[in-house]
Amino acid sequence: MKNIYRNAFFQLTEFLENIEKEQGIKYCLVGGILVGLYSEIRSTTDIDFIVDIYSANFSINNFIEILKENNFYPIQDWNNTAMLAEGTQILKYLDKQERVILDNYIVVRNSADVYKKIGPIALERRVRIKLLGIECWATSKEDYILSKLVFGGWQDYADALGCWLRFSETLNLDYLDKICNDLGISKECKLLTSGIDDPDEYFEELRKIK
Amino acid sequence: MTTDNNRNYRKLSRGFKNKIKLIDRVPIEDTINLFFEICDLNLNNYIDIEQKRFPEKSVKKIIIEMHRKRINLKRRRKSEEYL
Repeated sequence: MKNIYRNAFFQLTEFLENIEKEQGIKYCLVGGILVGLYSEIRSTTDIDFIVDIYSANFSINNFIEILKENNFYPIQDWNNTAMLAEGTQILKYLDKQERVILDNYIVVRNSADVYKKIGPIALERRVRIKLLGIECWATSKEDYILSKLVFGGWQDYADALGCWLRFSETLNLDYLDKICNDLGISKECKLLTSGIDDPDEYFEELRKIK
Repeated sequence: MTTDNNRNYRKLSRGFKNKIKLIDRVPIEDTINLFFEICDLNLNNYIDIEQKRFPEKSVKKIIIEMHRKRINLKRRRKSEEYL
């Protein structure tokens, strides 16, 4: 078996650690890659992470130049990647094997969009973790739950529920309450902490109260 | 079988709470290794199957199409089933 996902992870974390040290571009891993650490173990095919390029005075095009130098490859071509990212603030590209999609969310500050608000929040409270012997930055457990509740798909809620069931005793509940309130997801959060222990039941109840 | 029975069956077969309890007993390094193992296994399997079905297709194309399918599935679940 080829270590496709592992190799992509090694290439990406080495790159992210380097650009943080050399260019001052802060990052943190988010989403599916953290399920082994924070939630129920399941498979994923991509790697999600956030990168604060604007605070380090990089534009999308400058950043793409660094990606090219570090053996990342576009899905179609880099011009198209840049054009899409101008609108979405998400860069999508491939690792050097061209086997794993890398979802690079760009941190946008002072945005009214609830999906964009998650980036700065996660970056501010990021934590140092160790995955496969590699030290890297990742979103905190609380912010992991928050982002999953904001995105709100079935798998997102299941991941949030898994994290809650595993770590409810050590999570910072005051922080969780406050930010859920700010993001308009208090109902989702309240339900998560209500004792429900199955994703389908969570959805059923959420439909009733929404 | 009624819808409610189906749901109970789904809950029992998934055993979400017990799975979480089990994960908590496994050392963290092992859960991380297991995660990477599962991801690699599934990616390799998917590529193998698709290459057999469409020998002319490049692996890059297989990966991009897989990603698009996943995104569409996620969107559909979100808009139609739940919210």
